[in-house]
Amino acid sequence: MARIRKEIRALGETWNETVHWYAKAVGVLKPKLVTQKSSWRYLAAMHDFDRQAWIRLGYLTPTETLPGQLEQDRYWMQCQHQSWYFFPWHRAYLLTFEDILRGVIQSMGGPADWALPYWNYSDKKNPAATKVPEAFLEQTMHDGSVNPLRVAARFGTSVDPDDVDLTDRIADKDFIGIDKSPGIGVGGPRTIFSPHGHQEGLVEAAPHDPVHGEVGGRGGLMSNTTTAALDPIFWLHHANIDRLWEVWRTRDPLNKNPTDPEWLNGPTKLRAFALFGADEKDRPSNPKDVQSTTALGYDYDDISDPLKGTTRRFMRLEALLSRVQNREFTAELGVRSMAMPTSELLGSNDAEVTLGPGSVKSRVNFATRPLTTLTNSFTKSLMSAETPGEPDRVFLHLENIRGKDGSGVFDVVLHRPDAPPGSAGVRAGSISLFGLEQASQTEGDHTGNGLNKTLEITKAVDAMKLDPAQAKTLDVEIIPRSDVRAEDDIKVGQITVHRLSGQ
Amino acid sequence: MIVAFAVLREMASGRAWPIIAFSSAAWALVIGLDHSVLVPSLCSPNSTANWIGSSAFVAVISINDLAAQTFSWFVMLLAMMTPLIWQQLTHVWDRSLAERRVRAVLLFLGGYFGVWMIAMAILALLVVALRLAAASGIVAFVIGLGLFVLWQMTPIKARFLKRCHRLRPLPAFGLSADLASFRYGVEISGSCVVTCWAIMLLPFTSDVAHIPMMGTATLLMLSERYLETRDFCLPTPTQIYGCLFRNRKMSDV
Repeated sequence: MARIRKEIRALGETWNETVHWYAKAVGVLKPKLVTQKSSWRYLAAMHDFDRQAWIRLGYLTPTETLPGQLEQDRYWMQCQHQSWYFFPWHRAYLLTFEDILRGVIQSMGGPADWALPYWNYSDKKNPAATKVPEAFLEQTMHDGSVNPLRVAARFGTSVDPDDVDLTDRIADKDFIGIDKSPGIGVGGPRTIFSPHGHQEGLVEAAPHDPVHGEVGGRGGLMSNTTTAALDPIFWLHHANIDRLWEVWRTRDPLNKNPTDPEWLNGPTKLRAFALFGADEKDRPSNPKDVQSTTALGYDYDDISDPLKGTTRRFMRLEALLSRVQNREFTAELGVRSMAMPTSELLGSNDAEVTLGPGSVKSRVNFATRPLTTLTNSFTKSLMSAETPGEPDRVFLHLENIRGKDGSGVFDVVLHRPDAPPGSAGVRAGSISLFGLEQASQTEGDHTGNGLNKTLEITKAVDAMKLDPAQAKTLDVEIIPRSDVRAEDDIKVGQITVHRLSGQ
Repeated sequence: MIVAFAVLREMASGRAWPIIAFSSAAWALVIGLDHSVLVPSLCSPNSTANWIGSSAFVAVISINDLAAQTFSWFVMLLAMMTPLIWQQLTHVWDRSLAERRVRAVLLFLGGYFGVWMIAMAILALLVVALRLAAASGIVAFVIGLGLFVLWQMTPIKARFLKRCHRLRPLPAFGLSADLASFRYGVEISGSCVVTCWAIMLLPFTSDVAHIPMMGTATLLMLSERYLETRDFCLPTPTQIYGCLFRNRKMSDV
């Protein structure tokens, strides 16, 4: 019978049996040598590793022996981000961790069916859902012993409800989306082995990234890929991300994992995944091996659909129809000029933007022809739920983001240039810069290309009615919501807007 | 090497197929061209082995058809380099307004191949010097091979290989868009030249095996371009291939 991973608060009191054994097992793994495959630190380094950062944070001494280079090359620094391997690699990784922990728990007399709990910060039925679970904050455990779940370098105690809202995260049917173009999928773009990439999937962008940044805070373990898995809350966060993959996959029969052999068989061009079981022996851990949680021996207590079956397209068309009925919008704007699915640049700003403690605005200029094409896509037939398709979708790209601190979270707000002064604008979403440090290293594997953040602004553009006869620009305001400092030197290389047609 | 074929297959089956088609056409032209045009007579062992001094350079220039040489270098670069820059070409394409895409790509290519053509001229002079100094064509090739192996292991080479993957912001409008595309081509080409100049010595210094060596060099460049790059490494005997081509997991290649 499959083990059941349960929501941490649904388990009852703070120090319920599952959490009690989790803390005890973490306490056993933490003092082990970093060279031991079943040690806390070895498991964390499998995600990512930075010797200097670990020394600075007290997780490594300068003279400590590390595993040999060949072993590091095989097992350490495997985390998959901005990639279609994001979901499956983290699932296999969690399973390695859970199996090792369960072995430790059993050896201490704990339950043989112990399963990792998850933290569902998106649960709107529970007002406390966005708060870090109490067991991770208390100084001591219920028996008075030191609490191994509490870490000094964790500075956030809750996450912003808007950042963990799932409405725009799991409503799409595409897993992959279109690489390097607007239209991103739930699972992430097609990549090779990808510790750090450019474009990320919808769930990775949120709630994954902001939970890392907001829980870790400035300088916190969770805010950096190289230290995140040293924090015990990491594993509950990723169990929830793993659960969201199941929620998405089961909420609609049209939602399918990729069937491409390159996804199923995992990466081979640079490195392959190397994960092991409680016996520390390698086991098959490619996407094809981890598609079914039941086959892996576990299930979640709740994979019900928080969106009640609705789709992104339906939500959009419903909103548009309501505006047509209220005569805010006319549906006879034109006839589509382009029948083939296509994406194209609508416009961009013309200078690099520096982010700091205050908000900054940058103006995006549009080209007339593609803006006209976008406007002409609002036809009666495309705005009808009875016929296939929908008017063009619009995406805002913040590209080539570099900087020295990845804990920052920013709101992005759009303003029409003809809007009255002081008007609030339309919120396009938020961005979290998890992984920024690694992506910014010019001599690193990422070659300094930085992060790319994509926000679908279709709803905002629908609401603003970008008429090419009147509006040829759009002001993008980026407002810091966390402790962002000038010395973080965060720069956005370019802001572009793309349209996607033919859906 | 398997990586190179996998990359080519992926490109040919995806949206990069025009790049593969273009490169294939250039390869057909390379093969179809008279070999003496592609491989300058200065590379022939009989013509230069006994020449010494600056007069030899003059003689070399005088017996070669510079226009034909320039054309052959250009075709050679088109064949070998276009698959290497598909990431940048798609970046330029995607980040340009539809009406400007062709112009932006041409400007990028202008900057890219402009720098490479200058580099080819300098490389040709280096090859002439090699051939004048070496006792035979074989010796010149061995020296070229030695330079290639040494360069592969330097930290400078590793650093510039990473820079070949740079993706730059590109303005959308006006002269600044044109200049940015051209400048981007120059920047990427500069990194490519520093990364690949030594490997280009192999086809330049090989006479009869010129075209197979071009093919080998292309596959090697593709392999290392899409393998994970490492910093400077000194190989043990069992790690030589991995160190030369910067891969982390040798079983994959």
